[in-house]
Amino acid sequence: MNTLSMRAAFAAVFLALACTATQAADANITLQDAHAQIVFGAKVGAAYLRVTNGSTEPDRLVAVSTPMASKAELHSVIDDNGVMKMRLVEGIALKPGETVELKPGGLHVMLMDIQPGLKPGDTIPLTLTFEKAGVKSVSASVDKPAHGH
Amino acid sequence: MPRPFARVLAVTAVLAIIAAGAALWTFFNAPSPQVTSSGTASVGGPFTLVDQQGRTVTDEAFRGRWMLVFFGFTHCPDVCPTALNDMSAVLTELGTASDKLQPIFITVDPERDTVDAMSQYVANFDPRIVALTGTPEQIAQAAKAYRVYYKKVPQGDDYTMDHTGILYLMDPQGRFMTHFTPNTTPADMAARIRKLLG
Ligand SMILES: [Cu+2]
Repeated sequence: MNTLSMRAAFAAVFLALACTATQAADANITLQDAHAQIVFGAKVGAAYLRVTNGSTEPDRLVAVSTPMASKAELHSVIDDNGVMKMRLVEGIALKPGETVELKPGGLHVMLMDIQPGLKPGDTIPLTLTFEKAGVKSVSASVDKPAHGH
Repeated sequence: MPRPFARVLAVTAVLAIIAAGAALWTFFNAPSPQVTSSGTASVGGPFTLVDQQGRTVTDEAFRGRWMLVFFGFTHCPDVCPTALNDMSAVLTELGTASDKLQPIFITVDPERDTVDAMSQYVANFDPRIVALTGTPEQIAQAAKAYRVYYKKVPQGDDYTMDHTGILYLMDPQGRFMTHFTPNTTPADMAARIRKLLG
């Protein structure tokens, strides 16, 4: 084996490893229990889900989008001595193995200018962009209100 | 030193210490306007607002029933629909005892929350919830009575509202009884309310 083919072989192995790593990170993001709280007729709403980073590398959820709203942003609710303050967050960090839950009263995907007519039981597609794992999709079902009528 | 002078000095010193103590006591016990989470006897009071049918109502209209009062706004994606869902669930949980309870939702965003907007919005929750709006002055008065803080916060080319997220329980005489934080579960809330309703 000459030096050149040695180098090529190393490159091939390196590439293969790199690809496996990327794929593993990608395969290791799990999205569960996606749902949305959209009051019928309201222009704004929120989507929630559980995000698990199953890889051995830290990752970061950086953006969310949906065709059902003109804008989707990552927000958190801060309870400041009883005063509820909602603020934009610049991404959500995910440690290796960590599960972050977006849930009412906390982190949420804020949906703005929601397409009118969405009813409980309808589903809305969400596209989540991660720094390392790339783009992942999930569909969120619109919650039924506590008092359906 | 002549004795009478010494006595005056001693009395003055004692009085000064008492005065300083009283001043400190007043200082540390003065109600802080920032405190919104702790229930004090002075929460609640008169208000004049407009319900989702466009009728003018005052707090007097609810005498004889317990009131569960929450301040929020309809352009709220998370905290307010959750609170209204919780209120609805509390009513269901209470069963027939819910007859004694009047849930009230008061907007802190009168600019966008017109009677129509409020009426459309609360139609998605328990129909027993009364939704109140009013002029900015009327809202300010009601919020002041309940020690509720609210503030417009720019968000992109729109705005959102920071606001106190507490639910207040008032007795049939309109007196403050207790409060619930937004993370109290409806089951807990219902259990505590049921005990108080007797
Ligand atoms: Cu939000």
